[in-house]
Amino acid sequence: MEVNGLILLLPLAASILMVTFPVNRFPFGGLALSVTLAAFLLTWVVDPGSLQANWLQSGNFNLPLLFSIHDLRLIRLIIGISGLVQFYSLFYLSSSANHRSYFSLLCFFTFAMLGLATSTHLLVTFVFWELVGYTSYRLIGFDTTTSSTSAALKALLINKVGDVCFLIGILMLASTGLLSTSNLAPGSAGTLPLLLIFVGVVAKSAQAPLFPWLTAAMAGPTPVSALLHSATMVAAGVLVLLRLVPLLNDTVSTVISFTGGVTLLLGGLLAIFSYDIKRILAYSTISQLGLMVLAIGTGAHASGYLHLQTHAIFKAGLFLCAGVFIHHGVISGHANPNDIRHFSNPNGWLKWSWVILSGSLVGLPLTAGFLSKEAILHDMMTFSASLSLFVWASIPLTALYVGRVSYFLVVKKTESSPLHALLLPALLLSLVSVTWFVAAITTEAPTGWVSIIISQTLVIAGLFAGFRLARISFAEKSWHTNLGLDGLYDKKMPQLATAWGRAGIAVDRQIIDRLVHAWAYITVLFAHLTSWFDRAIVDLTLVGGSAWVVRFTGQIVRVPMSGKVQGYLLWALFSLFLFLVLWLLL
Amino acid sequence: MPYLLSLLIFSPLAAVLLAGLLPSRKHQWFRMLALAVSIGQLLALIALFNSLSPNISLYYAEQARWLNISLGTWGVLQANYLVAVDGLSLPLVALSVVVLLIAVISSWHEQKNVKGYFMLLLTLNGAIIGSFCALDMLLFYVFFEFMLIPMYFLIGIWGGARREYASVKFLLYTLFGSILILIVFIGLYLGVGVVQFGQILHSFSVLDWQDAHYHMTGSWLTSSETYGGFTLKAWAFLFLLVGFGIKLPTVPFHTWLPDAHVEASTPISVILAALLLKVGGYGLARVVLPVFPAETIQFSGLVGGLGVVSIVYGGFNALASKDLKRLIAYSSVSHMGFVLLGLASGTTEGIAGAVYQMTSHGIITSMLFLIAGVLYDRTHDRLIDNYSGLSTVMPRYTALIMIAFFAGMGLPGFSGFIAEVLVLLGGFNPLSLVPVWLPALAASGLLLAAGYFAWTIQRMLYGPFVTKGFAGTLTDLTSRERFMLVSLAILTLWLGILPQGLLSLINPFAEGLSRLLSEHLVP
Amino acid sequence: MSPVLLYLSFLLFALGVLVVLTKRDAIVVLLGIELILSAAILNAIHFNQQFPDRMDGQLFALFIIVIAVCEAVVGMSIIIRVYRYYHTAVPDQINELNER
Repeated sequence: MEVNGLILLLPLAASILMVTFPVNRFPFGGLALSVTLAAFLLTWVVDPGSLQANWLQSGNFNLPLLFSIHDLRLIRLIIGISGLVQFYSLFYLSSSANHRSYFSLLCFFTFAMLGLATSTHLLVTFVFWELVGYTSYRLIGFDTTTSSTSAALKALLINKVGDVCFLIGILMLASTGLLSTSNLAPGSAGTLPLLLIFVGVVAKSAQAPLFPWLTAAMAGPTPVSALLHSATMVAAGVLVLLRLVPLLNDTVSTVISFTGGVTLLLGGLLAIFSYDIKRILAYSTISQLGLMVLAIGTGAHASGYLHLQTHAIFKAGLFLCAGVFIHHGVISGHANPNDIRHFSNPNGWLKWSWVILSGSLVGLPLTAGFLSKEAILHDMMTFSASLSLFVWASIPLTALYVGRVSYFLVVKKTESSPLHALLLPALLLSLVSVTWFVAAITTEAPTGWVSIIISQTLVIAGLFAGFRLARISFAEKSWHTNLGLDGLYDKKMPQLATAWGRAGIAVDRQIIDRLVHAWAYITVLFAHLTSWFDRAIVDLTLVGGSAWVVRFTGQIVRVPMSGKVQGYLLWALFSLFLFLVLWLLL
Repeated sequence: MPYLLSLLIFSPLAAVLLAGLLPSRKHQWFRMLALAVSIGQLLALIALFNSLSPNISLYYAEQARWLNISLGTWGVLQANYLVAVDGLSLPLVALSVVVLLIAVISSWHEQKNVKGYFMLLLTLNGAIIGSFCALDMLLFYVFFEFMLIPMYFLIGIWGGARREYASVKFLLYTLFGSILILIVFIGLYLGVGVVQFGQILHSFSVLDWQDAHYHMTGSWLTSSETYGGFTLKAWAFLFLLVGFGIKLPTVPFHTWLPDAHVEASTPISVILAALLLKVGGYGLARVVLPVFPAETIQFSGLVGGLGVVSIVYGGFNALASKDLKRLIAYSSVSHMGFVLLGLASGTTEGIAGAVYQMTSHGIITSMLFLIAGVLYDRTHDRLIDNYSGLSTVMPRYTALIMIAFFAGMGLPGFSGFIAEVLVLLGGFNPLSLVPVWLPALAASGLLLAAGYFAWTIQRMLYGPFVTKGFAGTLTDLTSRERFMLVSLAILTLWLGILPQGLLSLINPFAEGLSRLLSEHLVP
Repeated sequence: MSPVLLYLSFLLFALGVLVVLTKRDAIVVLLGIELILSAAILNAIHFNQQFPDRMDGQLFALFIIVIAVCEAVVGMSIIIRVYRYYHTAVPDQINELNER
C-alpha cells in the first residue's frame, strides 16, 4: 500500500524540495529525472489496489481521497513521457533559464496528472484538474515575455470557464452520491449536470469552440507542449469523459459525438493551412482529441481509450522532433524558427523518428496508431454508421496535413550529423510505437480487413496529395488562425468583461455612493434646520423670553432705587402706612 | 486553565492602561509592549486549544455576574459577563490572534505618534476578541461599539490622502447599522424573560434568546401582527440583516469599504479586512439565524440572492479597478458574499463552509493587503498600470504574490477552495433553502476572481520593467515582510491540504444550526 | 382731656415729614427731623396727662430731648463729612447708589 502512495508522492516531494532548496546551483534537472525514473520503476513493484484517506467531512457530505492504482499502463505512460520530456529539457533549456522552477513545476505536474488519472472521486479529480491547469499556466508563460504570458492568461481563463461549469456539474451530482464512481447506472444523473461537466471537458481537451487556448499555449517551451499540451493534460478531459460513460444518456451522447466530430474535422482543416510547425501539431492534437471524444460519445470507449494512449506516445514524440527542428532554426538564426518552409533536416535519425511517428498519426501499419485508428473505425461502424462518416472524412484529411508537413521536413535534402542527445526521446517513442504494434499484433489480429484496406488507401492517397499541396503556397487568411475566434476571445470577451466591470464601478459611484452622500447631505441639511430652529425659536422664545421676564421684573423692582435718600424715606413711610392700614383692617 | 478567554480579551486592554503611563518618546517600548501582548495572546490561544472541553456546544466558557441595576418600577437591568467559544467563534478568535500579531509586526516602522497608534491598536485588539467571545449581547454590543472609535482614529490619522472622508464614512455607516442592531437587541431583551419571585427577569444572553421557551407570551416575539406585510419578528430580522450586513459588507451597503481600505494604512487595512468584516458574518451566524429561524427560512432567497449579488458585483468591480487596494477591497466584498450564501443555504455544509470561508478569507486577505502594502510602502503608488515587469526585480515578492493571488482565486491546495466548495455544496444540496441557480451563479464568481487576479499578475509582474521613477526603491522583500507573508502562506496551505482539523471543530456548530433551521421548516 | 397737644403733635409731625421729604438742603432736613422729634415729645406729654400720678411721659420727653441733641450732633457731623466728599449738601445730588 505504501508503495502505491509513493508513486504519487515522490514527484510531489521532489517538487517541494526543489522549490525550497537553499542552494541555487544544483542539478535540478538531474534530481527531477532520477525521481521520475524511481517512480517509473516503482510501477513494476506495485500491486494494484486502492488508496484511501479521509480528507473532508461535513454534515452528510464526505469527501475521501480515493485513488485506484489499477491501470498501470496509463500510469507508466504518464511517468514515462514525463521522464523523457525532463531528459529532453536538460538539453533544450538554455542555461540562463530558471531550472529550479521549471523542473519543480514539471515534477508537480507529474504528481497532479497522476492524481487526476488515478482518483476515483470526481471532486478529487477536479482538485487535480485545477492543479494541472495551474502548472500549465506557469509553464506556458515560463519565459515571461509578454506574448507567452498573455497566452498563459488566455489558457487559464478559457480553462476556468470550463472548470466552473465542471464544478457546477459535479456539485449538482454531489447530493446523488454519484461522484464516487462505483455503482453507476445510466439515467441516474440529470442531463444538465452531465452537459456542464462536458463543458469542462470541452475546455480542457480543446474541443470546438474552446480550442484557441491550445494554439496560444504553443508559446510555451516545446517540451512543455510535448508533455502537457499533447499527451497528458489535454487528455484529462477524455479521461473524465471515460469515467462518466455509464451515466450518459442519449441527448448527452449526441452532443458529445457531434462536438467531437466537428472538432475532428475542424482541427484537420486548420492544420492544412498553417505554416507554423507547433501550430500544425496543436491543430492535430485538437483534431485527434476530437476523435477520442467522438468515439466515446458513440460508445466506442475501449478504442477511444486506446487511441488516447497511442496518441500520447506519437504526439509527444512529434513535438520533441519539432523541437529539434526549431532548435536548429534558432541556431541558424531564422526570424521565425517555427516556420516549416525554412526547415532543413539536420539528422537522419530525426528523419526516421519523424516518419515512424507521423505514420502512427495517420495510422499506417507497423505503428501503434494503426491499432487504435482501425479499432475506432471498426467500433464506430458497428455502433453508428452515420457518425463514422466523420472518421472516414478525417482519414484523408489527417493524411493531407501530415503529408504536407512531412514534405517540408523529410522529403527535402538531408545533411548528416551525429546523434544528438535531444533526439533520443523521440527515437525511443517511435520505437515504443513500433514495439506496441508488434506486441499487440502477436496477441490479437485486427478484424475488418475491408475497412482496413479502404482506410489505408485513403491514407496513402492523402499523403501524396499532401506532398503536392506542400508545393502550393497559401495567402494568410484570418480564418486560418483559430477560425477567427481569437477576435472573440482576445478582444470581445475582455471588452465585455471590463465593460461590465466599469458598469459596476459606475453603479457603485454614481448610484449607491450618491445615495449615501445624499443621505449625508440630507442629514446635514436637517442639522442646519435644527440649528436654525434652536437659535431662532428656542433660544429666542424660551431662553430670551425668560431673560426678558427677569429684566422686566428687575426694571419694575428698580423703580424705587433712585439713590436718593428722601426717595427711600418716602417709600419707607409709604410702606409703613400700608402695613398700618392692613394691620388695622385685619 | 481557567480565565483564558478573559486573559485574551483584557490583556491588551490592560496594556493600553500601561501604555498610557509610558513616555511618548520611547517608541520602541510601545512596539515591544504590543508585540509582547500579541505573543502572550498566541500562547494563551495554544493553552486554550489544550483546554477545550469535549462538550459539544461550547468548547470553553466563563461566566460572572456583571450588571444588576435596579430601575425602580421598570424592573431590573441584568446582564452577565458570559464569554465562550464554540465551533463558530473559536476559528475566528484564533484568526484574530494571528492577524493582530501580523498587524503589530506590519506596524513596526510607523513613525507618526507611535504611542497613540499602539494604544488604539491594543484597544482594537481587546474589542475584537471580546466581540467574538461574548455571548451576553449587551457585552457583545459594548465590544462591538468599542471597535469603531479606534478604527475611526486609526484610519483618520494614519491613513492616506482622503482619510478624513473615509474614516467619517466608515464610522457613520457602521454606526447606523449598530443603531439598528441595538434596537433589536433591546427588543429581544425585553421580549425574553422568566417570571421569578413575582418579578420578570430578562436576559441578554443569546443562548436564552434562542430558546423559544423563554419568549414571553404577549411580547412582540410571539405576536403575529403585521406592519407593512411583515411581522415584527420579520422586521427585526431585516434590521439585523441590514445592521450586520453593513459590516459584512453586503451589496448595497458596501460602499464604505473601498474608501476605508484604500485610505487606511497597510496594517489597518489588514485588520479591517481580516477581522472587522468577519464580525458581520459572526453576528449573523450567532444572533440572526439561531434566534430567528423561521424568518431565516422566509427570507433565505433574499439573503442568498444578496450573497450572490455581492459575489458577482464585487467581482466585476474588482475587474474594473485601477487601484490595487481597491481591487483587493472589492475582492473581499466578493468573497464575503460566499459567507452569506452559505448561511442562507441552511445546510450543514453551507454553514460550515461559511465559517471556513471567514477564517480562510481572513488569512488570504491579510496576505493580499500585505502584498499591496509592500509596493505602497516603497513607492506610495497604488495604481496597477504604473507597474510592469516586477518579476524581474523582485523574485521573492513574485513568488508570494502568486501564492496570494492563486489562493484568492480558490485554487485547490489553498483554504479558499475548501471553503468555496463547501458553500457551493451546501447551496446545491437538495435540502438547501436557496434555489439551485443561486450557487450556480456564485460559481461564476470564481471565474471573475481568476480574471481579475490573473490579469493583475499579467499587468504587474510580466512584460518589460518600467521604472516610472521607482528605479532604486523597488527592493525585494525584507525579512520582516517575508516572515509575515510566508507564515500566512503556510497557514492557508495547511488549511487547504488538511481541512479536517478545523472542520471537525466547526461541524458541531454547523450541524446544530442546520438542525435548528430544519425544525422550523413548514412541511 | 384736651386733644390740643395731640393735634399739635400731629401737625408738627406732618410738617416735619413734609420738610424731611421735600427740602433740598440736608441741614433743613435735619431741622425737619427735629420737628418730628418735637412732635414725639408733645405726644409723650399728651399721653402723660392721662395718668397724672405718673411721670413716665415727662421723663420720656426729657430723654427724647437728649436723644435729639445727640442725633443732631451725629447728623450734623455726617452732613459735614458728606459735604466734604460730595461738595454739596443737596440729598438729591448724592445718588451714587442709583440702581436705575
